Amino acid sequence: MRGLGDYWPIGLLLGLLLAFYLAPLALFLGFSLFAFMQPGQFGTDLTLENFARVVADTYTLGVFATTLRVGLTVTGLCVLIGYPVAHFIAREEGWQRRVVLLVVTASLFTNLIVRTYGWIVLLTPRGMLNTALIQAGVIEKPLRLMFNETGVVIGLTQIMLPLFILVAAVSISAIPRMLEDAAGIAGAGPVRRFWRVTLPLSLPGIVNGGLLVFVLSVSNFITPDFLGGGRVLMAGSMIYQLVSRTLNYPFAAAVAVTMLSGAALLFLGLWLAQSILRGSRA
Amino acid sequence: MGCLYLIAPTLVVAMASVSPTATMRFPPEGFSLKWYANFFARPEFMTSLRLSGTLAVGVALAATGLAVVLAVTLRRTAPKFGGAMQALVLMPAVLPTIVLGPAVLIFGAQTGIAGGFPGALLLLAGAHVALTLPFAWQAVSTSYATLPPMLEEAAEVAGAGRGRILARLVVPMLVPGIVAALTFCFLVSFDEPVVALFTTRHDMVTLPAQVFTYLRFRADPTIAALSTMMSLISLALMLVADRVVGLDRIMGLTR
Repeated sequence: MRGLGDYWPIGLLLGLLLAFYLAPLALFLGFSLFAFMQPGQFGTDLTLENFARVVADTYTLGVFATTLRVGLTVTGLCVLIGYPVAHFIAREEGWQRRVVLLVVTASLFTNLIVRTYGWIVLLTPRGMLNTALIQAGVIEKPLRLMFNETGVVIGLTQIMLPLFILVAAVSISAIPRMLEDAAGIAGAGPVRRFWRVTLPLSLPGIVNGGLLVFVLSVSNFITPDFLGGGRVLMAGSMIYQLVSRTLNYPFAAAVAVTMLSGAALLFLGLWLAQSILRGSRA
Repeated sequence: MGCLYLIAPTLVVAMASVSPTATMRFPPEGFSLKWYANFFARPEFMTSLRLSGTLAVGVALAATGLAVVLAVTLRRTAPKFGGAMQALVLMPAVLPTIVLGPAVLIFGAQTGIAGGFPGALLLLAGAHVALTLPFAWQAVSTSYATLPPMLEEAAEVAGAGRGRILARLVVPMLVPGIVAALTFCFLVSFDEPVVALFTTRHDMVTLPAQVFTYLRFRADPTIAALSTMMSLISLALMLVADRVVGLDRIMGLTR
């Protein structure tokens, strides 16, 4: 006998998400439709002026340009560096593979601030890397590796890498080996087999992993804050400052909505491109 | 190469943590554990450590428990909701915390729930449960998928009630998945900096928030000592998860 009572775990889930997740999100993002008077005081009429400011304000546009540039660079680097590692995890055997998988998973579950701090120690003007390079006589003056976009990109790429590797590895490992073997029997060499079979079939994994990396990089504010030293302003840092310093919730919400819509558009575009690509092959 | 890039900062931090000087020298001059001692001697770190530890244990238990009962319900009682519920559960893994942080802060202030310490902690814990649920779900549901539905049906035919089936059959069979889920949820909550930073109050500063503030003003190797300990904990817990369930299975890798 099944009564309504048996559905309580679903009710619990819905209640929990509603109270602690969806309601706060709706409240915050809803602020984007109200005017900002002064801290703690907001207009009562619906307005689009916050969004108008996002599109018209050159400062905000500059922040979005930096965000987009850093996000795309980090995503590209993650794909380039991460794919070979993902392939190694998905297809190799033996202890080296286990060690790599362990390192990747442990990095994923290590504190973000802790990992950013590692880069501060490495990259500061008097940090490890510069000191070592000067002592070795490679350079004379310290390289500027921090407090600029280079530092933010170096740090963010390393922080996002484990996530991309795992998503891509799952997708590569799901490709039946039979397909690669069949291509081999049909006379394709290892290079051709990779380009014509493995890579196209793992494309969804690359896209999913890349999207996840992109969304999480453009919204990260801790790493740009420390490694950019306040000089690299990204959308995440902007939301943080608007909320915690100027208490301008409406404009912060408008920036957040713009950022999320941008990511959603990207997602939709890639999804459409993928289904068209698949359609033309079939 | 990729692997070296991944662990380079951790190794450098480990070296910095045992350096006797406040600024890093290369090569290091001697060996000292004084930064570790400094960490444990500072009361603000100890208070934050207790708070983060308690919060993470509570959050891990709640998220994992919910994942278990949800997995059972979605298979046995309401399979037709499976897709929709799974999408809901996984959503917090994709939505950036920079949006959730302000949301929890503003929600707490506007409703007055965050007026006192218990309410503020409840909101932070609730947000953490939502954030950790995708990880708990991933570990529990992959483990549950290997449990043949027949066993539960047999127990039901034999007259066992729902609670009894859960306690005597499902939970014991899912121990590996549950251990993995608890591990991941604990680490995610313990390390979560963004929502914690936004909702910080004088009496509620989690360890990541404390580290964030400390690094703003000082850059001595105390944080290096803490970082090294936290990296070692992550590595140890991953080793345990790998032994108990296998990282391949938890991550969903086909072997």
